[in-house]
Parts: sequence; structure tokens; C-alpha cells
Amino acid sequence: MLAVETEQASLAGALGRRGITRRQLVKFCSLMLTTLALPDKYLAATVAAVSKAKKQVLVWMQFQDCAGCSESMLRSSHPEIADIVLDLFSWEYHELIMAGSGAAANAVLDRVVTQEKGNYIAVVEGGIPTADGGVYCTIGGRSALDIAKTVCGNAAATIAVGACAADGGFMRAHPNPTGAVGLEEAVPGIRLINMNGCAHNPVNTAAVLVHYLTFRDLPAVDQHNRPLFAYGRVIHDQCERRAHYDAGRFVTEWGDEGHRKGYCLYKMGCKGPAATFNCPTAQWNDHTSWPIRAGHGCIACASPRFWDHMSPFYDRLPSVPGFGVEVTAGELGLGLVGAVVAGVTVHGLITMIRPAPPYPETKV
Amino acid sequence: MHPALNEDRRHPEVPVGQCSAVYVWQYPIRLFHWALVFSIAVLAVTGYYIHDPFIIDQVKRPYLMGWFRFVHESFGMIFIALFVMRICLFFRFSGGDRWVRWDQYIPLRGVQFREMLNVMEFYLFIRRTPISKIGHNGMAALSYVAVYTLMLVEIVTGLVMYDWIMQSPVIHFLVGWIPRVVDIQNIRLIHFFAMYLFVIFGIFHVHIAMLISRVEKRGLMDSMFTGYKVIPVTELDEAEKQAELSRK
Repeated sequence: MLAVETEQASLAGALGRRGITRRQLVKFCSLMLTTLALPDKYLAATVAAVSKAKKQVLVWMQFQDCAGCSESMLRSSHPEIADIVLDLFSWEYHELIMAGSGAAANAVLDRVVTQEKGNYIAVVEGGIPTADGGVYCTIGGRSALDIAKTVCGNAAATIAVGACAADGGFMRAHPNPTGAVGLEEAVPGIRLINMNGCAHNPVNTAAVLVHYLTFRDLPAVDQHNRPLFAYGRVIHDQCERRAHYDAGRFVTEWGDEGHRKGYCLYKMGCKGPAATFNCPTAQWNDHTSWPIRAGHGCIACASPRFWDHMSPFYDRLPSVPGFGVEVTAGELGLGLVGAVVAGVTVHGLITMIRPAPPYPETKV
Repeated sequence: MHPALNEDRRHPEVPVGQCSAVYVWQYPIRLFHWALVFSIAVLAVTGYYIHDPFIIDQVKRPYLMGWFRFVHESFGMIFIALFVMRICLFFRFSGGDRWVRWDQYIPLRGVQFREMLNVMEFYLFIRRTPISKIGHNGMAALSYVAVYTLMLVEIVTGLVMYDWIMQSPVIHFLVGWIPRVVDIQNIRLIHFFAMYLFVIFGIFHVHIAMLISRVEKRGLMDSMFTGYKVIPVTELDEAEKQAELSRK
């Protein structure tokens, strides 16, 4: 009954009861618009849409995950994000934080899927195993794949948060014993947006939710189904250490003079030039820092299948396939050049010591 | 008789007065050749610096990597222009003459395969002399087809990386779909490794040019500067007969 009441309540009232002032709401909406890269003329419309909106039912599914994406969302100490996002939606099902368990929890999920069919938002965290009938992740006796098909198939929109839900993530990394895949492959044809990242950035996910509340639509996406506002630009081009890169000032060893001076981490295998994300501008923990500012190269955690494609994390390029794990393209190339030089030298010497050949033939 | 034409200085099998200097390589193909050599050299050095910045400049030059990238990208555009130029020269209507046209390069006739075998035997010391051609033999032609393919690989992977940062609509339309199929890191790997294949080709190319030049004594190396090769007249007549046959 409680759920039904909150569902009907308008959001402005609910926020007021939680002690969130209109000023805080406007600040929150401004932050979201900035993240979405929308002009401020949308502010009034966004505030109006958010405060008038009927509470939207939301279920947060967890499959093969580490709960890191849930933590990332819940521990955003920005009061606006944590409080308002939790209050913008009727957060009906979230295994990590819900009080109910067992049959009671399953009943809530079943009720949402049947009563709110086509109206609720599903957020999915974690990969979905497909090997051996999906036995590697089951909840209440049902496989993750089965649950995802039911829950996401009946949702108005699905948000895949984190690398695991987007493309299988860590679970899918070679050799992938559980046959894990992302939501896009597990449940094709649903209305889906991928929020890649390990973990997802809560500011971006909140922005997608606010975008949905305001425009009743998901934001524009790139070829990997990730929102362009967050994944449209290369990290390298937004990096605060970019000037050091252009100047040719590089860290060559952890803890060297260049590292202490904050030089570019390109030679340490930073994947900033390969990765697209708004990490340098959105940053983490209330805009405190982000990996490259902290002195560690980017590992491209927001890129598709980054465990396989972006490793080794501390080398510039992938290792050459078929030559063991430690052979780099440079070593292989130099080895081949050396072998060719040696071969050609021997060939030339043999030619020299033989007597001069006769005039060549002209017909074969 | 002039002392240079003494019996012991003349080639025993080529009679005096029976050779002709033939303009084999017209200036477009020579321009292509030397511009390609220069651009590959520049691209290899600057590209290697971009892969592994070997000059860590602390103070003096404040835009070192920027300049390396600018030079690399500029020469990349020249490289693309050269590739397009070479494709044009494959066809007669765009100025391509007999020995640089496409049918000299794509092995479709049996004689080209026989030439390959012949030249391979020469390299392996089974045969004392290789087949001598006015233009390319089948083996040489095939190796140039491999180089043009390698050029295409470098151009496509290079444009993918260029598009990654420049977002030009035309380039994006052409190559924007590729990172979805082949991951951008593997694109970088291919682009980098192909450089070594160019270096390896260069070593073989110079070595073999010296080998054949030594046997043929027709000014093979010289011909890439002057365009002229010295061909016995009998061979020219033979080549003309074959050209006549293939026209019919």
C-alpha cells in the first residue's frame, strides 16, 4: 500500500517532506543540464518537469556484479544527487538496499512487472551468464537471463549501468568461463542505453534519468549505444595533462621526476587517447579528482570490452597475438628486421663469392 | 677503336652498337617512387616518436609532440595523395604508360607465374641468371602489389585514428564504422606494425635491385633516376612482337 501511495504523490511534495528546498532542486537541475550539455533555457522546463512529475517506478537489477555501481550511486555525497535521484523515482526493487528479502522481494518485482508493464524504468547492473543454461547466476531459482528478459522486456526503458551490464565487463574478459554477455546481446531489441564505466559515473546516470523525466526520451547515443553527452569526446582531448603531451614531457618511470611534476602518462600506457568519456570534466567524489589527476594512467574503463581490448594497462599497445603474452609489436618488428638484414647480408655474400653470372635470358 | 671498346672490356654477349636506351619510367612514376621513399622515411621516424617518444624534452621546445604529430599527419595526407596518384597511373587515360599499367602488376597470365618461379630460382641459387624484362618481372610486380596493399592498410588505419580525434564528416562516413568491428587499440597495433613491414620491404627492395642490376648490366638502379634502361635491340623487337600478339 505504501508503494501505491508514493507512486501517486507528486514529486514536489515528496521532496519537501524530505527537507529538500526548491533552491536545492534548481541547483540539482542545473548540474544535470550541465552534464547533459544542454543550454540553460531548458532549466525552467526541467525544474517544472521534475517537480510536477508523477513518481516513476524504478527497479534496480543486480546480476554478475560487485555492487560497485550501486555503491557509486548511493555514496555520491552530493546531497542533491543521492537524495533527489532516490526521491525522483519510486525505487521499488534494489537487492543491495531493500529491506524485504526472499519471497517478499520477488513478489515486489513480480508486481512491478505485471502492474507497471511498459511504464517502469529498469536499471541493470552486472553481466548476464549464458553458458550452461545460465546456471552461473540465479535468483530465486530463475536464471539471470530469464529475469532480464522478463524485467527489461516489459520496461519503458532500460539503463545498463557499469561495464558488466553494458558489454559483460570483467566477467566477459578472456576466457569468460560463464559465457557472460552484456544486456544488449542478452536481451536484444529492448529500449536500452549503456552507461559504460567501472563503475558508472552517478552524475551521468542521474542526468540520463532526469533527461528521461523531462523529455520522456533517452538522450542521443553513439555507435556503442552510450549517451553522446558523456561518451562523445576522447579523454586525451579533455585531459589536464594534455599540454605536457604536446610539449613532449612524459613520465618514464613511476615516481620519477616527471611523475612528481605531473607530466603526461602516455608512456606508462595511459589509454586516454583511445577512450571516450567525460571523466576529466565530470570527475568523481563530488568533482574531487579522477584517475589521471591522481597520477595513474587511464585504463579506458568506459570503452567496450576494455579488459580484453585495452590491456596490458601499462603498455601503449596490445601484445601481438600468437607470440605469448609479453611480445610487443616493437620487439617483433625489430626481430624481423634483424633477421631480414642478416639473411640479406648472407645472400649478398654468397652472390659476391660466386663468379659473375652470364648475360641473363630473355624468355621463360 | 676506342680503348673502352676493347674485347676484354665489352660484354661478350652483347654486340657493339646493338643496344638502345629506352625511356621506360616516365617522370610521374619516378616522382611517385622518390616522393614515396621520402614520405615513408618521414612517416616512420615521426610515427615511431608518436608511438614511443624517445626525446623527453623538459624545457627547450614547448610543442615537440605537437610538431611530430603535425608532420606525421601532413605527410600522411601526402602519402594518401601518392596512393591515389599510383592508382591513376594504373590506367592509360590518366597518363599511365605501358610498364606501369595494371596488367603488368596483377598476375593473370601464365607467363607472369613462370617469371615468378624463374626469379625465385635465381634468388635461391638454383639458377644463375633471372629472366630479364624491359619493365617488371612477375615477382617484382607482385611485391609492389603487396606494397600498395600495405599502403592501403596504413591509410585506412591512419584515417581511423585521425577520425577518432578530428570527427570530419567525410572521413567519419568512410571509416567511422571500423572501430566498431576492430577495436581502436588493434587499429593502432596494425598501423604501428605495418611500419616494420615497410622497413623490411625496403631492405629487400634495395638488395634485390643490386642483385639484378649486377646480373643485367642494363642500368636498373640508374633507371629510377633517369628513366632510361639500356636494352638490346633484339629484345625490343621481341617485346614489340609480344605486345602485338596480346593486342590481337
